[in-house]
Amino acid sequence: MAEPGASGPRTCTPAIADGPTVVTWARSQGWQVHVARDTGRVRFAAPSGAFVASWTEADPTRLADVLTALRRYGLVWPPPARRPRTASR
Amino acid sequence: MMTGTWRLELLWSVPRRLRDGRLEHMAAEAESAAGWYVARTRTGLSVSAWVTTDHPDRELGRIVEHITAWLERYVTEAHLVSLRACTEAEAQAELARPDLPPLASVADAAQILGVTRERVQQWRTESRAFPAPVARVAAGPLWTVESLRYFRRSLER
Repeated sequence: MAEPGASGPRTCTPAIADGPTVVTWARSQGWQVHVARDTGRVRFAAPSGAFVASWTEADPTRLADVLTALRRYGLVWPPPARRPRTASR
Repeated sequence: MMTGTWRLELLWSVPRRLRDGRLEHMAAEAESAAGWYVARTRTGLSVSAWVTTDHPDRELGRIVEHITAWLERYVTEAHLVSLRACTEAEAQAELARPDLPPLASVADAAQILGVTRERVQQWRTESRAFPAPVARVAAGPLWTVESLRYFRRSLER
């Protein structure tokens, strides 16, 4: 029976966004985001209520995986620019 | 071969929806023990791992086997539907690419093209070169900003 971690290397990649931005954006899109005060663990549930992914603020390097998971489940990312047409002219 | 960091992602289809508590338990175990990341997808779940290696051809396959064996402890009827490995740079670039392109209404299109709204409406009905809208809402059609810019450039030529 396989044990996790038996495969060897474990690495992480640098963060590409900051956690508070993701939390604020997800909430604005109807996602249910719960931040545990004691552990700092952030739990993301889709607007339907289904748990999708979680993340610990102490591990910012994991944010790329969180964003990929949320995006795969339907969260638009990155957030659109406030006024893209103005910025583009 | 040079050492590089790869993102490995496996997607499984699961016939019965995993309960939240079970999925959270799996995610916690995988992350604490192996550094793998588990999340829910529309049809099942995903497991991803970051791997630094100078032999991705050998190492990634070995990790796939370990992840698969681990998952089988929890889910018996899971079917692997996608297996993907990309470099760290590609993974970051994908996240930076918007999955929703900038959109423009009739009023936006008029501004981008430097004409009146009426002119836009006229182009819509009379010009075969005018881009097709990608969506329609109660307020009217929506175009991608990029398609309108392309139309503008075609006018300038």
